Amino acid sequence: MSPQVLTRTLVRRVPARVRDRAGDSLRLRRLANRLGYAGERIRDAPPVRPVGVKLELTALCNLRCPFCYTDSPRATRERRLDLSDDVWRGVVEEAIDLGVLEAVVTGGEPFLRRELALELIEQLGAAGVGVTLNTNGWFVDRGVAARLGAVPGLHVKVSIDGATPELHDGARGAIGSWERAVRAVDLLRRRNVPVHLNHVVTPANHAHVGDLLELAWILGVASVRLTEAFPVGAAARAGEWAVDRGAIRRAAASFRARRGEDVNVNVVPATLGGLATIESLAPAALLVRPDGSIWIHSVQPFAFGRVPGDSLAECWQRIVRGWRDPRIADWAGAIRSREDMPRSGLAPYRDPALDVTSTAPLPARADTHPDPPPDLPERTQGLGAGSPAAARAKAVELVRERRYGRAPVRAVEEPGGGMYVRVVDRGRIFRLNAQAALVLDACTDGTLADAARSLEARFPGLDPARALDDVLLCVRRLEARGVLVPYESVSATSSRSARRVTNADASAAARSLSIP
Amino acid sequence: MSKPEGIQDDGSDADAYEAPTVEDLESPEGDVVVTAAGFSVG
Repeated sequence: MSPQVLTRTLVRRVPARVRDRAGDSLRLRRLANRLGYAGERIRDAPPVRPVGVKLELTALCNLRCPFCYTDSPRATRERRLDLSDDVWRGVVEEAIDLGVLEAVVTGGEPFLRRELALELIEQLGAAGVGVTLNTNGWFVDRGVAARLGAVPGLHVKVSIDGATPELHDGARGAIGSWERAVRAVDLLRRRNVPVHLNHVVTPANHAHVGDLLELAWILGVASVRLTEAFPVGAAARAGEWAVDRGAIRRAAASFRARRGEDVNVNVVPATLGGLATIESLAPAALLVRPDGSIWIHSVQPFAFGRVPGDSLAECWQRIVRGWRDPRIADWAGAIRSREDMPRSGLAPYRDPALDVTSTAPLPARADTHPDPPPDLPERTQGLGAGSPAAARAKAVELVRERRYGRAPVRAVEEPGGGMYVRVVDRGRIFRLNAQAALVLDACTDGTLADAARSLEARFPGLDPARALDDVLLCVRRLEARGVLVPYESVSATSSRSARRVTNADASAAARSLSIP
Repeated sequence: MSKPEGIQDDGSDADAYEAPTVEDLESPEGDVVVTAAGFSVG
């Protein structure tokens, strides 16, 4: 057995709690990396051109989260300037020309620059770049959802920091932000956009992680990332962010046991071990800040130039030559605990970044405000935890009216009402029992509420609440397998009105149904 | 007036209700296995 395999095997046997504690130690992580634990994560040299680009369209935000890693509330108070629309267009054109494969469009809140954000996302998607959008969901309306739904390969990450309006609004500083975020998820899912939730676990909400996961499941998101506040940005200025990681893992395990793999749950402890990878993992992407400065990564406050004075290609060449700059390694090496990051004097997004290309200050290039600039809401405090049951009911109220269409399928019916189904596009076969077949039929040009009514009509004694819950579970499974697709994502030319699953209309649908 | 066929005194359907199920019918090797019939295709 090689030392690398032996190390990985031994590390995997260490309890997660101990691994987290060790992960906070940069020395231990470096040692593990040298012994081969990093394994496939080691990349000795950057690629010739960047694989990805992260675009922070604005430093400003309409919310005021005290743990914001980009410290957008402070930038908003200071009315900080962003790059102009034309400069951003030039950045994206160059990124496409350079051949990037992935782009992250983020902020601040990128939809403070709504038209610009949509234009750039559409341009990147049309060029074949995989785009991930980060948003708080506040500005996502039907029009935005429709345009995003037409972008191929787009994934949207929505921040939801509480299972209830009280928890979320209390964390995000604005009454109504939970309703807006949940509505955004619903509108995007109705367009079949893959949605993921980012959830910052804090001492205020960590007891309700299970409720949050249940909410995510009801809304039909693909994944949830549970992450602790990392000591950068606003979280590096103030606040106590330690949480019970064991409780979070138990909540995630309990959810998986209850709901299976319908939602992928990632628990991301805010350990500092990742800084050790600075020495072993060559960069593959670059970050464009709202003021045009070019970083390698959000946790490395070192600038390698600034657009538009420098091109992305020039900045990338500087990164290729300078990513092992001793000043970066020294900075990372001096951080041995979470407390060291704020004390370093170089906390990302809190302190001015260090320009590794020059001793002269970078010339200011940013010159634009979102129009109109946002006013920060009043801080919301003391809202309490609220009622998870009431929040769940609100979410169910939204999704029960979600309408579906059926993908092209072939089917063989069973005498008792069940059926075998083959999804033409995916080539996979499933067996539905009679009740699932009833749900599929009712949801073909129908809603979850229609399907629940069908079940109640077939089984008159059935509790309506149980009927709706079972329909929700069934539709999640049929959606995950590509049998049902959100109605609004199906092209206008499709045969939405086919009520029964037959091979005749399946083959007709196969000719006419277009699923993005 | 007699009650509809299949409906019991308490109003519930005579057919026992079972939750909807969606069963994947593929073996790890990619064969399609119609398990109830005991034969495979592919």
